[in-house]
Amino acid sequence: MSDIERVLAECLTAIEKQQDTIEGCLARHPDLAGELEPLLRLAAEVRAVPAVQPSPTFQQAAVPRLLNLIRAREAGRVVPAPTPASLWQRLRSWRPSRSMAVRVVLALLIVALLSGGSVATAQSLPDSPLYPVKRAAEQVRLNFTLTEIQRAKRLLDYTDERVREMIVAARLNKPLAAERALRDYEGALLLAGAKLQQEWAAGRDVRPVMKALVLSLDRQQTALQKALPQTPPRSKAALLQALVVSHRAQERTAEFLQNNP
Amino acid sequence: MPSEAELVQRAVQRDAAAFGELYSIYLNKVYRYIYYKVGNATEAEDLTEQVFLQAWEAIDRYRQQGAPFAAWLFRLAHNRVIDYHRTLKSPAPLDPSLEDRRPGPEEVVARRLDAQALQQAIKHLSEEQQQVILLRFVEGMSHAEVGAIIGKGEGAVRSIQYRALLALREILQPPEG
Repeated sequence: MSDIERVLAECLTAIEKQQDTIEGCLARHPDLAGELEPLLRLAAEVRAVPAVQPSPTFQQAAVPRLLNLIRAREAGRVVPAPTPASLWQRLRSWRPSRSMAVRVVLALLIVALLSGGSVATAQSLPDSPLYPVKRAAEQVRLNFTLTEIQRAKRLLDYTDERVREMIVAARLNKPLAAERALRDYEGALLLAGAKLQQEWAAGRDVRPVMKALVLSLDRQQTALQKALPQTPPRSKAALLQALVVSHRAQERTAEFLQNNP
Repeated sequence: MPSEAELVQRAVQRDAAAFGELYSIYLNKVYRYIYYKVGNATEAEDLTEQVFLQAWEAIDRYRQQGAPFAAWLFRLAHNRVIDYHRTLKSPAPLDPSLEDRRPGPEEVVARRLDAQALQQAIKHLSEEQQQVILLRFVEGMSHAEVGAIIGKGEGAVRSIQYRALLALREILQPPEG
């Protein structure tokens, strides 16, 4: 270790413990001061960056949600999560990531080159080379859907497919593929919810779609529960988490319908 | 109030409530670490939860043989982030509001470093350098604690720290001329 590395480390530690200051340290090491000063000031600047924190909604629900997941894992089944705030608040902040957009565009190019719609494509899993084609085809159908309510319905249709992928991937003991399907399942629910919320705020009646959603979530939960016993232990996590996500969405939807009969 | 060591001991014996308290203690720290590595708040929340679930699954294999609980937890977080990037088969996804660029000279002069700028800058560092910057200056850990997490001695951490600060300075500095 060189002198500068050692002195820098000593100065940083002393400053952290408030036993020294940048100026004091530079005065004690005049021969290294030119090189030390910018590094000490940069370290101080990094330390002063305001702390990033999870959203208050996440923080509030985090422990009960985790304990619920733990109980579910221990019992091999899922208890509805006691997290009243989460879904609708997260809907408002959900945005597709840039990488997702890039993937969709790339996949669209592939779709343009292929005729699309083959059985192999339709049944592909998230770790399959054909999967981007399948998702791009979904995105094209979504883009050509006329109203926001219809788009929300279509997104909810896609959640059925994500559940199917999750179950198949989990049974084949492909936990990463199952997790990817789980993430997209939650994303589609959030996006559909956001659209329905916007439409409701604009005065349009979204209750029929909400009612259909409750039934659809019921169906998905049944399928997930049924699949659990045949799923290898390593891949159960995604299914259990999907059940929690699904229960949470169902609770929020049911609450909405109760408040707006 | 039970100490962290007591909570860890109870958690190792499959006490979920004790593990929940450990989650409360480490939630923000692990989230912060993951946020800087993935650059997306929602993904960071999901991954944080997954790290703790994984920790629960593995906690009976955790033994207090020198490695502190925090070191073990941050190693899990680090591995989870690596798996995440591998699954996506792409570099870290960013919030759409974050642009992938280095700051211009005026910005460097005018701006104080904030979380987004730091996140943008550190992703240009090597994996080890990122870890050292985050653990030392964002999480406030000592050289020894960082060493326990990244599996290196204190001397090596000091060297990486020096090179990391030099590289970060280079990234944040406006180009000459």
